[in-house]
Amino acid sequence: MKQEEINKLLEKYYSGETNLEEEAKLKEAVESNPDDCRDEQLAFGFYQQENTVPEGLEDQLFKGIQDQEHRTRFLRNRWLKYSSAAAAVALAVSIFWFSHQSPNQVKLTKDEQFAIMEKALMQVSNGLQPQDDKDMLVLYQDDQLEIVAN
Amino acid sequence: MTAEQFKKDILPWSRKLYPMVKRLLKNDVEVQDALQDVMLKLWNKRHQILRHGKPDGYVLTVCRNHCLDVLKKKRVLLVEEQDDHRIINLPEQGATMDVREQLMIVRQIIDQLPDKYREVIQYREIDGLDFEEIRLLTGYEVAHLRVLLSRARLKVKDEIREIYDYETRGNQQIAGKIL
Repeated sequence: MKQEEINKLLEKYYSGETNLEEEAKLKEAVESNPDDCRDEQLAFGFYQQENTVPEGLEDQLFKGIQDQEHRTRFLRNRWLKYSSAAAAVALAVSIFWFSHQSPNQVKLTKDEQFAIMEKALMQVSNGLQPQDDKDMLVLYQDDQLEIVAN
Repeated sequence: MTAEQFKKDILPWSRKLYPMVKRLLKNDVEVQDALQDVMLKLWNKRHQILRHGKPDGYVLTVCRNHCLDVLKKKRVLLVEEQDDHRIINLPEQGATMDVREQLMIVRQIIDQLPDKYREVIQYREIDGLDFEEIRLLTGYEVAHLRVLLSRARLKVKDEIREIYDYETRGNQQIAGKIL
């Protein structure tokens, strides 16, 4: 690029009117003519230094994404495997339980069920009654009232 | 979005985002981790990205928000010293002492710019973002961005010239005294 062309581009650059493509061209031209554009050469050198990116950055990042995908898939598969196994065990236990329990079960009539329940409730009720106090002296007792003294 | 599409349309953004993430986090070690998290987020939302006509704004916003989250969670110490340290260690990459000094001077000039100027010049010159992308990040209209960019560039040029003219004059004076 001729110096005159560089100067024109520099003028545009310092007005903030250049596009990225023109700026790339200008930077390239300045790099090859450092003596004529010393100020720009220093500034552009710094910008270039600052946007240096490590080699193979994109590949490393994509590898990181793939690793995470594998991990997620592995965990998902493992979870699926364990939950399938648990479901299978639960199903087997249920089948075993029902197949062994049903034939031996005795079907009760409603009266029998009621009698058993009444008996059970009575047992609970008796269990909740306070124990008789042997030292208690009954002073008065009739159908509705009981007076005691300890 | 297929893996191939993602590789073609989204993954190349990592090169553009890298300097920005590095600047925001100010910690070289965390840059790649943060960028990996950003790319994973974008990968997990790749079907939503398709719905955006132009994914640029979406990608930039996800990246910036992630960096701000990282900064909130962990207050990153330090900063310019680390950047300077990185420049000081440039000889491994073949840079001379003069080049390192020059880079540090330009860094100081950029760092001392007013916030608006600094932000815009970094997005444009270092990250290579177009005006529309910078508008999405800063909220400034394009016409205003052009003005800010123009002033920032001129300021950088003037500062560089002032420092180097001063150094040249100083050297000439010293040479004059010696002679």
